[in-house]
Amino acid sequence: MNPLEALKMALRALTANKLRSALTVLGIVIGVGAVIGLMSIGRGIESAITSQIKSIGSDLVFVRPGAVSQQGVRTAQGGAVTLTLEDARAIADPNRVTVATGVAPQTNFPSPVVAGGQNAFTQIVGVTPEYFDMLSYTPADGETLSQQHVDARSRVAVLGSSVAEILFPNGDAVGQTISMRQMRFRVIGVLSSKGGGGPGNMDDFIAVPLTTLSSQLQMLRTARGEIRVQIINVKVDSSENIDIAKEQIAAVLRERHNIIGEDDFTITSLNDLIAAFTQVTQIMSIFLGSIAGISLLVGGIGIMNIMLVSVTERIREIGIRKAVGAKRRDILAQFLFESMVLSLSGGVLGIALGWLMSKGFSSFRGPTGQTTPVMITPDIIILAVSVAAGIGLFFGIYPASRAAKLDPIQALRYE
Amino acid sequence: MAAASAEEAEGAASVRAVDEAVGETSDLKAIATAVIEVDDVTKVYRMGSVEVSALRGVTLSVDRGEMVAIMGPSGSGKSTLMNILGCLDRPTNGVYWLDGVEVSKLGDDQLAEIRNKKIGFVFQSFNLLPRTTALANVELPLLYSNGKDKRKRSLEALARVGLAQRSRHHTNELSGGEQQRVAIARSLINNPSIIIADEPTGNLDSRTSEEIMAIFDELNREESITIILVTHENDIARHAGRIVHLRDGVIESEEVLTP
Repeated sequence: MNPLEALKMALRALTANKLRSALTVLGIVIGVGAVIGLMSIGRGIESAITSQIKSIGSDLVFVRPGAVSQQGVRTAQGGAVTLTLEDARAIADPNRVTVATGVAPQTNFPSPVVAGGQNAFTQIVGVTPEYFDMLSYTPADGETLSQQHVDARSRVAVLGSSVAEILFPNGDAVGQTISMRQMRFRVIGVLSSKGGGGPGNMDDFIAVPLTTLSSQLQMLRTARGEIRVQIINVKVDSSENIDIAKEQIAAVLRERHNIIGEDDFTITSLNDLIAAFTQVTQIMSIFLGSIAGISLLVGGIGIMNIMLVSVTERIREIGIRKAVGAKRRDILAQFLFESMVLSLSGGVLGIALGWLMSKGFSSFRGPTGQTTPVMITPDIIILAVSVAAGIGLFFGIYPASRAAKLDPIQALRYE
Repeated sequence: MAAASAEEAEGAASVRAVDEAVGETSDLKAIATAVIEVDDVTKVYRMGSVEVSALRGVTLSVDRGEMVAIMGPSGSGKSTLMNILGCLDRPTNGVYWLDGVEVSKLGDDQLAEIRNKKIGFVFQSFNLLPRTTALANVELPLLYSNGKDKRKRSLEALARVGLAQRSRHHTNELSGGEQQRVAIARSLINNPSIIIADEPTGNLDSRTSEEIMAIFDELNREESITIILVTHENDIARHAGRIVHLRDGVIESEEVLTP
């Protein structure tokens, strides 16, 4: 029996029971649609996070204080501030860290801010002038910090765009004063927005000179009077040299901190961050996909159920076909074709449903106005369709082999 | 084979003895003229722990172009014999040659092929596919033999039974007589060695029965098609050239009819 004949036969049999076939297909449509819809959300979030991280720059290395053991007590990572401004200067030495093109120490200090009638709670970031270039912030209005501001410990501030919008809704921030911890700062510039929303908002901060922050807002000094910093951002000449940079920086810090055993700092790059996020979102994708997979399984059971009913209803037909010369494999093929047509047409319609679902998801807006990123990639579609085809085969083979095994005499006599 | 049929009355055992005595040359001759050669065939069914013998040593031969009627009361084993002759079932013991092929030991798929190529079935209850056209029903055996010119051959077969003009009708729109004629057309489609008709007029009124029997007569007379007729009606059996009476799984008697 040639495949075209078998396909025609299957279509004729399935259209003889239109409603029943349609309902059976619906089970697969929903299953495949759910797999595609949910996995597209996982993929969308993954790619959104990755691209947002990459927009900061993949050639950056971050040095943070590590876990410290003191008298047998181990603090959490970053619990102790072990890095100083002098460390940052040492890393900036081109003879020691040859691949670094810029070093920007940074200290964060969350604080309420008041300006006129408005107030906000944001991150005060103590930085040096290199910070802005390194993280690609450009002033939309006014200027950024200069070395003079740092040296003079000036009370000047540069506002991130979303803080500026909150404090100065009329957009005339430059030249105004804001107050933090009862200290007045003059606004000298507003940064242009880097975009991105939700928890990844990179415009929600106020930059002040590092020296000003550590001497006037938050006393962070060592016993010898060195200024402590929380993060040292290092820009590397190319992203291929990230690992070299990590080694050279580690060597400098081990020497300066007299470390023999465990490091009291950690060095991470954005690639590490991307890898960590990718792992999380992939686990999420798999989790969502398997929940959707359960509905696909239920759809498959529906196919098997209907095929069993169909075989029982058509025992006499099977007897007639066998009497006129149908072999086992002819009957097997006939019923397998029917279940495959059911599952594959469910798969194709399911792609359409999944696409609609992902469109629906992407139009939802969260409380802060951000959209849910979705992404349908070819591998999701291939996965869904091959799973649908596999289900047709797997759940079709038992009913079909039952039909094929029927004894022609008994089948002909069946009422 | 006239000698063999004369022996039948004395029982199967003696026939076997004769066959063994004559040896191989007789076998070859038998294959040349006989289309069906059944030798001491038995069939035992197991019903749980009980064994039931449906056939207890049947020896029969049918010449090419013959029309033979098999008669017998219910339980005589005529359905079992028909199933074996039609290659729907295998004998427990004994040998069955159909058109020069020993079919008694073949596997399911080989039997399916024999049924497709060498046997045409006509059943009491027609056994046509419902919600399907007459033409598609006649084509059905060709689906499993990859025959060429399906449409043309099927229309020709329908024309032979006088139903060419109803080929597009669904089988459930046809009268009983018409449905049986579609079944006959289906049985003819692969030019079989034999046609097995199981109570072909059992569901028809007497006038339609005569019409159907007229078709069988014509196919037998004009085209020398071998027909095995299983029936319990004497009038119908009279159309055959020979009547084999079956009782309790053995051939009780045979009568040769002269037209």
